[in-house]
Amino acid sequence: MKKLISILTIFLFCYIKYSQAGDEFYDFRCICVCPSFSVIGEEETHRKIYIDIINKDQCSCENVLSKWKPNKTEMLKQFCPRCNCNFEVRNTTTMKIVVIIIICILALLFIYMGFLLCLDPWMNRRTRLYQEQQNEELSMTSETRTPESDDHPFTAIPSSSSRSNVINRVTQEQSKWKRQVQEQRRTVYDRHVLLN
Amino acid sequence: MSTNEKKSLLVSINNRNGNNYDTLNTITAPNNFPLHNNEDNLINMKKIKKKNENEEEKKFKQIDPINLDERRARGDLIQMYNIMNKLDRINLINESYHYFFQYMSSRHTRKQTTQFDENSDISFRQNHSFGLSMDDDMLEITTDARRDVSDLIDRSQGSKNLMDVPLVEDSSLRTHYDDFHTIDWLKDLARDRFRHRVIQKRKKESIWQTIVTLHDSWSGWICVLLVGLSSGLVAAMVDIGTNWITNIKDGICVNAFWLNKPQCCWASKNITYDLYNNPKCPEWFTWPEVFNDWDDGFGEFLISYIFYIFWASFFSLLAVLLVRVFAPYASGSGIPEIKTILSGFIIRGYLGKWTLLIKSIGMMLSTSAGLILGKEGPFVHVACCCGNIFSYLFPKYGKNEAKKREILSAASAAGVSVAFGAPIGGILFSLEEVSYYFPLKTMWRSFFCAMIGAFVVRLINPYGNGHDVQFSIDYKAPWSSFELIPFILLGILGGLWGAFFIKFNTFWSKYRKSTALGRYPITEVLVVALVTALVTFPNPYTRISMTDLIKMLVSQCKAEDDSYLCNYERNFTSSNAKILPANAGSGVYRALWLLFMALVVQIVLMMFTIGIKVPSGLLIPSMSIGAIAGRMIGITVEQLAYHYPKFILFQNECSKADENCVTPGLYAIVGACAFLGGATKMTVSLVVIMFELTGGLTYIVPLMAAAVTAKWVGDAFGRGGIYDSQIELNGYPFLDNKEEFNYTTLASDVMTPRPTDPPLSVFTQEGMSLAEIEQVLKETTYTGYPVVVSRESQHLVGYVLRRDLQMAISQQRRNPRVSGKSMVYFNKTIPQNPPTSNGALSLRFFKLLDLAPVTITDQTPMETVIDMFRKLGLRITLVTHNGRLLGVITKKDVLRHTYSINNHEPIFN
Repeated sequence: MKKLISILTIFLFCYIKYSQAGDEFYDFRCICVCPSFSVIGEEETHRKIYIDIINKDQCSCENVLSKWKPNKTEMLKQFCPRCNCNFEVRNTTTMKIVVIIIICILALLFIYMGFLLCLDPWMNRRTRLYQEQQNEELSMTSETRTPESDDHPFTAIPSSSSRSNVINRVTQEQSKWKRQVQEQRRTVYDRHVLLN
Repeated sequence: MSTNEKKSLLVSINNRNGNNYDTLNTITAPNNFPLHNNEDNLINMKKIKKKNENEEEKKFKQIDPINLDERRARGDLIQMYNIMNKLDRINLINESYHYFFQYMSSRHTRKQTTQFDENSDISFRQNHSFGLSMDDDMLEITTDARRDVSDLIDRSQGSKNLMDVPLVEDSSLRTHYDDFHTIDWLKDLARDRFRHRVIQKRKKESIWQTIVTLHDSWSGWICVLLVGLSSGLVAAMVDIGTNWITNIKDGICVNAFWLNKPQCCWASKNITYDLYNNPKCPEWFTWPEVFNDWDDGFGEFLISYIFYIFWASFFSLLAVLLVRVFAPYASGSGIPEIKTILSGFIIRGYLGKWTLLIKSIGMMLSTSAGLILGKEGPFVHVACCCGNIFSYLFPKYGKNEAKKREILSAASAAGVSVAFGAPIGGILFSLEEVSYYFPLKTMWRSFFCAMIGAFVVRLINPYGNGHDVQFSIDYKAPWSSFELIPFILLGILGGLWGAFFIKFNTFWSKYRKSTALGRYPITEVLVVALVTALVTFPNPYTRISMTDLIKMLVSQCKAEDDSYLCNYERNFTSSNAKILPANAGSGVYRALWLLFMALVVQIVLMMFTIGIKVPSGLLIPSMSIGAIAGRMIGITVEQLAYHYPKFILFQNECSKADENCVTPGLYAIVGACAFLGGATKMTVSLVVIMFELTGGLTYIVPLMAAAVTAKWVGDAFGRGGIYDSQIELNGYPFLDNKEEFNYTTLASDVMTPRPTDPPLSVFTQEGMSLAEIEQVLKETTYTGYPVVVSRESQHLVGYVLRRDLQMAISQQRRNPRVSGKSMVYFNKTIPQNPPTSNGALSLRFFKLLDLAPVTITDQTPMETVIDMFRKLGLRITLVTHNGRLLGVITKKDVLRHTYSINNHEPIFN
């Protein structure tokens, strides 16, 4: 898990560095909201919102609208008091990071799900068949399995090297988690006890 | 008898190798107290408590850890804790009976008082007989105390001096409850008070202990701080993700794929809006534009349609698969289950890490798929997951289920706070809707937690609109008094819709549960998603996300707005001009027609959608339906007032020429409030959430009128909101605090065993062998067993928990001298000639015994019993008659009884 997170962060940093170079999406704008030009006898343009990328001290109606109505200063002087201009800032970096994290999580989950749904059963078919048989016998003999009987913390024999021990523990954790999810699935989908 | 009999045999059981027994000679300090029989207990109790404390302190000081070996010191520590344990038990009796006095009728008071005296007498004798001499063949069971304070306390108190068994290694068993069990609030809270006293007592011993005390007292605040931070972070991420994925259905921002459509067009100079107020800019590429440069026409529509359906099905398929493969508990809204958990029920894994991850991801996907469901309800579940995970950092909360629920209450407040940006509404939601046990302390913590959550969301600013809340409105138009009539009408509609929705959804869930439909959850989700995508795409009001729709409906028609909805015959001369009443143009009627279609589509689809196996909340869909209905009524009233200003209702307030008289956006807010109120039957919290959500402080009275009308009308058709009906449907063991129990049954009518049943399985305090006890444990699955004096007299001694017994037996079985023939004693006095046949060691389980179980008489009315269960948070009560044990009443017996009286089938077992 830790390895995974570190890889993810490295990837993220690289990506942010790379992508910041060609960023054409500015984080500030000057937005003017105006009525239709017809109120001063000009022709209707159906545009009422004017956006321009200019600095804060230049954010005024004349500056923004001159791009649409060039060389009409006189007209704009008459029109501009009817407009409402605001300078706005935003921050898209959080969005970038969050969206990338979400894509990564989704991809990982998708891959892991694919592994669990397709590869895992294929790999463990034999062992699973055996286990299922055992499980059936178990459930036939004792209807209610208490958690104590489920988990034997001492059954795992500590192996010689520490590395295989870690792997052992990971597999143990995983199988424990799988069993829990199996139990949840039975509760929700088969017995319909919870969450209907 | 040997000389050893003057000394107690203390066996400390080492949990590592299981057969390393040590004999310790310990001082029999409290032995010299005079024996008391029955009078002046309280005074004596205090005296002895003091004396005990003094003695123990002295003794504690005498022990020099350098001179004595560690084990010896440990042994003394054990004794000290044992004594404190018992002192605590006396206090516990005091406290619990104090509650009793409050709730029991005066008729019972006398009886209880005498019982109290007897009981305290018992624990009293037990107290000074502690450390009495014992026979060699008796094995005193005690703990292998650890130095760690929290560990020690938890074990010594948690299951009566026997917790330090090898099961400690198993991290899944953090508390001593099994899955799907109810918790014992009284015992858990008493355990916490005991732990607190021990820490307070040790405060002055060293600087370290002072720090420990300090950490203990602020750990609650730290915990809710972490919960607030994490849930705010998750909520902001989910919001950003949802906005992005939702817009993926439409197209992509080619040069910055991580931006959603409004953000992509945010700084575009060529931004235009279509007739439904959707932005359009060259930076944003719709899917037809990505692949080919289609011009506006049927081809473009078809390609967009196909992509919309494809993405909707893909996202919902992914959501349902993730839920099924990784965390089935992540489906649904989670609020009924949270309510049940907060009322004292254990569902293992429901608030786990995987549930948190999958629910967050799943609700992004399912909301983005365009299904008629919201992500605001599931935020409560997500925040509670955070609460549960962080409570494990603090053993005070992680190891005590009752205390953990205080954190969870605060977390659920943070959930609503981050979902809507409504912190106060969140606290009230936690108080009104989800929490069961809500002391003032929890309220302050909820306050803090909700504040932190809202702050984090504001910091990250996921909506990107500079507001803290989703549907901020920027108008403060006054409302006129005649408008209360349409508001109340909206309330009635909301109540009717709520009642209908609850009825139909319950029916549909039952159908799903009982028929083949329930076996194909993935197919069901896919079909629902396909149908939803097919139906919602052609209508522009359903094509956009529901939050966008609500945002559009609650806002006012301003100068720049050219959409159909704002197609009035107005001429704005300035963007700051007043919005005057005007005749509606043809666009408004077109919009009304489309909105009506959207209303029908959403109502029908929501019925079938809520309950499918993806993370799904019903708050936003209800609000969306309400907002549509509200806006439609608002436009109608507005046009009526415009066309008939001399009508008696309108003439006072709408006849003036330059005043804005009806704001349709306000009707949308009120409608959202009314419909949500109809479905959930919330009142106070709903109104607060609504005005926090919109920022419309001027509209509290209209919101209140609508909410209360919706509740009245809804209650006329059926009690309880959708969450209560889901709890009932699933048969969760939830004892409602709000409902009244109005029947004249007695405790003897409810208790188990029923007359036809086999007698209660009990243990006698002496004369049972280990094999017999094991046989009983094997044959039955009860969580606890009463202990009686003898089978003939059935006089009650105490109550012993199955779990404690099992642990004790499994531990003792490692001793080769213990066999099935070993005699088991639950009493403290030692039989003169213990039948030590064939050399088997006798066992004494006295310390496992709860000597102060809550008891009632068989003639207690069930009203009182239910009140006790509700207000004290009991798990079980023993029914006696003249001191003889007749039966037991568990929480589930009570629930089964109320269900059977209300003609429902209990589904739990």
